[in-house]
Amino acid sequence: MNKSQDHYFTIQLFNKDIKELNFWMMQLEQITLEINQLTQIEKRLIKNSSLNYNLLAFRRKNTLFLATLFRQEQRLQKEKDYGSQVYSPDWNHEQDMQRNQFLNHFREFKALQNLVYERLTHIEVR
Amino acid sequence: MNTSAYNHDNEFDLFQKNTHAELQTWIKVLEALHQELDAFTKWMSYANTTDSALLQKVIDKRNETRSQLSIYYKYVNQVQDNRECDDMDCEIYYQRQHEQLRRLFNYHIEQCSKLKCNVFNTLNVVNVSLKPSGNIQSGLK
Repeated sequence: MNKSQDHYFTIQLFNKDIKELNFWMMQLEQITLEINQLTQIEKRLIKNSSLNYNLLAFRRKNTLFLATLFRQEQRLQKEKDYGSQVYSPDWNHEQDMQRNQFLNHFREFKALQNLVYERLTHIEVR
Repeated sequence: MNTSAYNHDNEFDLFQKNTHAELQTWIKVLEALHQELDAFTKWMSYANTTDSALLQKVIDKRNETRSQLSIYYKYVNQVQDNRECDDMDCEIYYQRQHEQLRRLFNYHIEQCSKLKCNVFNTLNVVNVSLKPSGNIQSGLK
């Protein structure tokens, strides 16, 4: 690989990670919105306090995770602009770790969401 | 394809591995979205209170999600060919394709979240109109 290509791909790698992080942040913001809506629906229709508590607990967790992602994005941006211009595999490991975290988080949210939908179906069929 | 990074990997190897891992995330998100829209159509068709135009929109989005999923399944198999690339043009071709898919994916997700907001809003409006009757459960019978 020649030198220019090296540099080109290094920048591309950073850009890609930042784009991916941006997508995750967008998703988490969407999750916060949805939790707010689900909480309202729970209050009006389902009236189950433990579910309400779970929703609020998840919203808190979501906010904390969002903060972690924001911080990571800032670090990556700084490294891309002012760093040593080398994309070390450590960055990749961190990204992988965060990807797994995001997927687990997403799966947990889906489980919670399914719980609400299930109850909602019961109410509407009755 | 093994997506973990090693010290002997060069930039392009890392790039490929990232692409692959990212694609798999997209597929998982889309699968979850498809399930969710499926659940929506189920309980929206149970409840007579929801309007049919919105239901049709949800069904359309679900079908769109399914067709997008098939695109991504095909692309996952195709993307492994870029290991054969030996010049910059070929690599950039795959990269452009990936960026295009990213735009498509982001757009779809955005549209779906707007639709979900709509569905939730109608659900809330329905409940508000039922409130004066006192018993919400009987109102939904």
